[in-house]
Amino acid sequence: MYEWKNSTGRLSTPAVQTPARLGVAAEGPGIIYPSGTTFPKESARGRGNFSEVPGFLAQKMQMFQKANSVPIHLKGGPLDKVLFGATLVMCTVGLTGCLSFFYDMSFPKKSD
Amino acid sequence: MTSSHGHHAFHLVDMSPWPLTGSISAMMLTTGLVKWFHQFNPDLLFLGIIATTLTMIQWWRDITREGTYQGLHTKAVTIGLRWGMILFITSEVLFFFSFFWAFFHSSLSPNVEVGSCWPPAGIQTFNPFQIPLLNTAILLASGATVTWAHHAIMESNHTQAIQSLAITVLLGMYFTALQALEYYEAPFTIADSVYGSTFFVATGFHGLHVIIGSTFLSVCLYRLYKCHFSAMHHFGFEAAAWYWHFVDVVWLFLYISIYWWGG
Repeated sequence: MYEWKNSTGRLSTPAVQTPARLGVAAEGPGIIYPSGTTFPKESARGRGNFSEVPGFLAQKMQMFQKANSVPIHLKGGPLDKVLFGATLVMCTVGLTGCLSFFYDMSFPKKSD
Repeated sequence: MTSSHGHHAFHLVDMSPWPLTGSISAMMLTTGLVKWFHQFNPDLLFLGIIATTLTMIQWWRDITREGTYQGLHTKAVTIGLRWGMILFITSEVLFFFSFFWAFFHSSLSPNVEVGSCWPPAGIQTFNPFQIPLLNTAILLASGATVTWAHHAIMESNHTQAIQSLAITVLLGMYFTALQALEYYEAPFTIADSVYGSTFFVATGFHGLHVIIGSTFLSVCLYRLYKCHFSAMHHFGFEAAAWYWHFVDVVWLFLYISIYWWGG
């Protein structure tokens, strides 16, 4: 939208209004599109629109961001506890096995 | 989700048991090896392998959770991860450097015990223009397909990313299968003079790295399928691609020096 400006003697777009209050964004003149202009839709490629997080991924994000003070290695559910327990048991048995082996090897047996 | 410890871009991790279980597993592996050698009993070694595998799965699973699900991998954190991967690969380069040194030490000045010639007298070497050349083509092609996958991820082309990364993994498996066949059909063993030692130790460790790299890429393929990677942020994939290129380059050196020059 253009208007005649006496000061410049020319047609020009309206000046941006200086806002009365601090922090208010000045709004420029809106873009006037010619009638019949078509706008492209968000393009979907492959498995869909990638500007959105898929539902199954959003669910995971929510689960792991719950403020429940559970540490990350246990935050995924009961299977985490099972795996952690199994690892702990194996390490305990293994550590004992190592120490027992060191003790064994420290006293060589005499073979007659 | 911002850092829970003050307003900074770094990631102070939750308390984790994996460094401890990893250390204990490493001791089980080494002590288990010694127990196998001295008492002919591999039980501690097998337990160590399982404990190490469980530690690795859970530790890397937790890193994925922290990065992808909790959003804690900021730009600063990613830079640290990049440096870490670069330094790790550099250490691996130095590891292989020592095996190449060993090879050139013995092959440039072959001693009288092997017949003062290289390859040593009586060793029937592989024809470098048969399976080894095919393996070279396979790894070079896989380097191209992993680059294709990277560009597809950056362009949000999910279909092509899955296809190209899947082809990369298949090529890696094809290489492993062919190399296993070569090992089975080899007319010489690791015990056949220093030729056998240098050949099987260098190519053997390389094959192990191909298996590690293929596993890393397979995990990335699964994560790609689950939409963990965005066009702008996919460092796990980049790390796997760097590792794969390193494996490819090591093979090229192996092929040129051990298979071709040394054959």
